[in-house]
Amino acid sequence: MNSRVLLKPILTSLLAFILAAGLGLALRWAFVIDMPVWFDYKNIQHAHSHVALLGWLFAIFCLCAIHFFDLDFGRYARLYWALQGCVVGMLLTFPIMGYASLSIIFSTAHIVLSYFLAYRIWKDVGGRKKDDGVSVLFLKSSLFFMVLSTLGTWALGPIMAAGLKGSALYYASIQFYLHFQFNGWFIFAMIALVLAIFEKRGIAMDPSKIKLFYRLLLLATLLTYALAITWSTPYFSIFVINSIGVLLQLLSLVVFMKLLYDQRQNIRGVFSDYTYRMFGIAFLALVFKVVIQTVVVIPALAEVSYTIRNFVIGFIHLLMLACLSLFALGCIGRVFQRSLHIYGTWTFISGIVLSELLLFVQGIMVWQGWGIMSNYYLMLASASALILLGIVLIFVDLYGKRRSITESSISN
Amino acid sequence: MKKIFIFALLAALILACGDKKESPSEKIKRERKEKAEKQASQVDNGLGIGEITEVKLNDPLDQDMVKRGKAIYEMKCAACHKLKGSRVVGPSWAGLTSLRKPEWIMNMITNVEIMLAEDPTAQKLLEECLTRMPNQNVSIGDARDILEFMYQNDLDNPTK
Repeated sequence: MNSRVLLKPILTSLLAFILAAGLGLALRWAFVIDMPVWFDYKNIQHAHSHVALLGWLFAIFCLCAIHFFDLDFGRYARLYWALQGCVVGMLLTFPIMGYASLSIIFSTAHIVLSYFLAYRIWKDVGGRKKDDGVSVLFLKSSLFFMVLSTLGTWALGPIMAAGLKGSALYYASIQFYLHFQFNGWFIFAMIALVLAIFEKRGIAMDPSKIKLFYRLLLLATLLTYALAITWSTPYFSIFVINSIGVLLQLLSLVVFMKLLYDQRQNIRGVFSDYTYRMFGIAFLALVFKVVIQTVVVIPALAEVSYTIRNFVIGFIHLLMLACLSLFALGCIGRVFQRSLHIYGTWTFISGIVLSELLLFVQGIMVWQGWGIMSNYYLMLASASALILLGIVLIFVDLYGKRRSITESSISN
Repeated sequence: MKKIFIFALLAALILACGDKKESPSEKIKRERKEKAEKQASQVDNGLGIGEITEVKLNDPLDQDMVKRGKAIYEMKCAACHKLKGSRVVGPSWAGLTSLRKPEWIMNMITNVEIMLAEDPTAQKLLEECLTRMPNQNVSIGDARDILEFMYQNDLDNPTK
């Protein structure tokens, strides 16, 4: 697939990432100084999460799917730009009005357009050669979860109309969306992309083990939604459902690691140093995520995990930044067959590590009653600044090199 | 596969709207009416719902309590509540002690879930903030210390 046609789309997704990081920095800065009157924390937070999730992660994962599954971007160009247009709309409306008519129109439009995109990818990627490999299965599953998750957002309409805003059902719906976006769509897409690369390079994995891995992960993903319910409905039976899901997830990870380990020599040769490192850190973050979810099976710890805000924020960003975003950067490197800006990358990673450490360490300190670090909020904001700086450096470098990228014809 | 999924979804929707004695929308209307009547009959005395029915205030403020309260604030509250300025995740504490009765404040801290479920002021705040305040498991003694700190905060950072 000719990578040069993906340059502009990928640059726009990185731009969205910059904006999201900037909004995130502003949110953290709000704890350091008194923000001006027009700065509405809630509204800015909405803008931050929507731009980050939809303008960056959603966009880059779709672009990578198109690239690594050899789809024709020409068939997706209009959809892609329309989707990013909706993100711009959200960026402009959320900070001003929060969740109101206009911002809801843009976010709803994004959902509807995403259905068309998912359908088209599903059609384009299926029904090809019989020996298409399990990567397609994972990709189709990821699209299924992408669509399934939006049921949560649609449910919000009737729930709010019934005057149940702020109720347990309301939060259960939001968590439904988030859970199946994060653990369904993005995780399955990430695995699909990796497997697609392996298949193209002729790395054959034990088919029965892969099938087992798929089934374990699928079931685990469905069951672990239960944790989100326990927050409002802490029945023992629901904790048990989640625990089973977590156990299956742990098993699936073990199977996956065995699969990778069996092919470790071949796998190393497939990736550039840059991509290998990014994927490696992303995988480490994924392992952390699974370990944390396993530990949180203990109801007392589950309670801690959502009463201490540090852990909530830390966990989300472990997945979004340390895992998914680093993985995406590794993919971009592979698409353009180059390392992204090295200083930018390390600044970005340092920011993430610092942020996560601060959040988790302070979270533990709160839990144990050990007080607060001095200058905690300032340090947290500085970590956000590093994250922003890193992405800016990466973007500027890629943008600066755009001529040399578009001039050479690159194949996968 | 997709067709089966769409069919299943439609089937589920149809089943959910099944023929019952009281339809879901009627049930919701009835519950809302009962809730409104219950709330109208309760006089909202601004004390909140919980164990705290009377708080004895100190004049001058007990500085040991203030110090303890500040320490608890920094650990358990500061992630969402700022001491002055505007709301972040949760409401700012600026002017809080003039705005709410001390009993309400302590009930809000120690009896979060019930307050969010039943107290009209707390529910109004929830609609504005959209984040449910989690139960921080604060003892009544600790809550009293936090309250003392709040009074000190309002002295230190008077709202105009």
